[in-house]
Amino acid sequence: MEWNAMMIDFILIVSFAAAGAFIGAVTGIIPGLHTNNIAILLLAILSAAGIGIYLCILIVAAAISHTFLDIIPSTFIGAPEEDTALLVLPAHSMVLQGRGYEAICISALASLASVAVCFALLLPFRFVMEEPINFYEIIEKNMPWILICISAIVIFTNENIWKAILIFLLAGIFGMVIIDLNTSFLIQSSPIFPALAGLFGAPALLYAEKKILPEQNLEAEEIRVKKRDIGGGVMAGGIVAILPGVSSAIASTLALALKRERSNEAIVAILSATNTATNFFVLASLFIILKARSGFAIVMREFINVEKWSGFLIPYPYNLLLIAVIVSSTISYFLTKHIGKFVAKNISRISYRRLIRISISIILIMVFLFTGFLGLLIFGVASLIGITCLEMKVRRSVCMGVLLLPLILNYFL
Amino acid sequence: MRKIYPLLAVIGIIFLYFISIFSEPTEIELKDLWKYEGKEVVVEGIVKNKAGDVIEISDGNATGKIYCEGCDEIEYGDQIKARGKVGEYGEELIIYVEKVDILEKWKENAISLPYLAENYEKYVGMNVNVTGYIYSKYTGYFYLSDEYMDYKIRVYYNETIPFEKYERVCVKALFFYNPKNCNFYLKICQPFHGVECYDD
Repeated sequence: MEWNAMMIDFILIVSFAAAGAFIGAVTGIIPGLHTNNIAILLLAILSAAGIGIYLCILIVAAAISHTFLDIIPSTFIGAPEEDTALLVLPAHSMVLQGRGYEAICISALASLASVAVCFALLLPFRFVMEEPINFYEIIEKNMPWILICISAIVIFTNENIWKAILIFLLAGIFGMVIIDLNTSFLIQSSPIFPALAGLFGAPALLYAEKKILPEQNLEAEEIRVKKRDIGGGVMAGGIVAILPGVSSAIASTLALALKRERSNEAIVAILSATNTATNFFVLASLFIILKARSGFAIVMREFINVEKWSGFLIPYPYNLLLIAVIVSSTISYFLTKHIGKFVAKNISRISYRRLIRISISIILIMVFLFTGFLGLLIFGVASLIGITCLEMKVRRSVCMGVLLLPLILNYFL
Repeated sequence: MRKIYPLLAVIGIIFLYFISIFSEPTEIELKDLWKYEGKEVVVEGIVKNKAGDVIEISDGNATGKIYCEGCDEIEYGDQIKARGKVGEYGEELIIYVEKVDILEKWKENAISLPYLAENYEKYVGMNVNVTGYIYSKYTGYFYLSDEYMDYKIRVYYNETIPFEKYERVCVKALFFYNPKNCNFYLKICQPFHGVECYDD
């Protein structure tokens, strides 16, 4: 009898995790749609249903799956989200070399590998962040200085430092102006989406040199990712995931700032690992420091009673949520490759000029649906800053000043 | 490089800056506070509790806290509108207030005893200004009733009231619930509390 109940419970966990993985795949593919929107929707509809733990499994699975799948719109149509903004240019460059599917495979493998590394580092993470080391407090106290260091690295690794400072300030002031604007239109959304789509997405599409999209190579058998790329991404994700107000975009910037080699493949691998690790550690932070650092974690706290992980053993229901992570990341890995292959196969049938038009139209429609006319204006101004960055031959990561400068000033003002 | 791009970007930022000056932050319900961490918001509610600079307010569906330095004029039961940034305060979220308006002082909002009885959840633990009739007087307390004697509530007051039975009065007091005997009562315990003759 007890065995049957356990089996039923296990089947339910796997089923909800699989459903979450598919939901995350949908939110990942649609630019601008975030797992948080789905979590909020679930909270509004099913909060009284009494299936809190299963909804949490669904949300966690969706949040992990989203970080696998959101590479696809970033790569093929240049529509980024916060965590994939820096990924647009290298991934889209690979599309123009006929290696779009390879970029997808690298990303999927990097995300999967980062989940494995996250699991390996989970126990050390718990002891480093909380008692006895309390690294969380050290990071929290020094966060403004860490952010200043990231900004300095991002700026001073450019050839022309003055131009980089100019772009950083332009993007930063732009970020400060828009950060509190109320842009919610059809659904509740922030001005960050149109800003990043403009800063990173539109210029990548408008300045793509080739006029013909080459046939995409669908034979990506020998995909490998470097251990240090995955390790760097996971470390950055782990540090950033525990801090308030610091998004995965900052984790990406941190991971990239510390990387000397700048091949497209390495950037795709690092950023994909960072994104997945960030969500993994956001979940861990909920149980280790009892802080919800993302919308999905906050919604989960509404569904379940979160108890602090104080000993060695992983507490209930965190153990179930980790099962959801395993199920979701396995499904998402194959889904990403499968959907990526389908898109790569069909995308070269469209002329590149047409693809650019379709891509920009999709971005504009999404920006309008989520953020209205004000969002379109933000997108326009952000695109001008992004284009200026490209024209000045300044690295695109400098545009992350849009998030870094307001965050730094928030600590000091 | 085409200089028009940075120039247009600067013009665009200036334009957005003016929009940001004139646009109000999102007015939210207190239950949605968590969605706006780090953002500027506007909230409205009735003051339920005060502890130093931290004020707890309720909008009927949920409660939330605001941090307001020097907001001494705000009292229990006042209806306020606060604008500020959502941030962490220990384990919970709080609004660090930049601007607060008192929409209605609790004293100005006189409510009848039947209204208080039927909407008790909204007022428990708060200052209230209740209109009613003196029903009976005892040492240390008196009873207030409505005009048809359908509702009655005990009002604790250490002083002797200069009013007679059936006189219409306004009682400014704290509204409490005593779970031990399942009773609501009013307590006149602050300098700004008291009993006054009802004046149309």
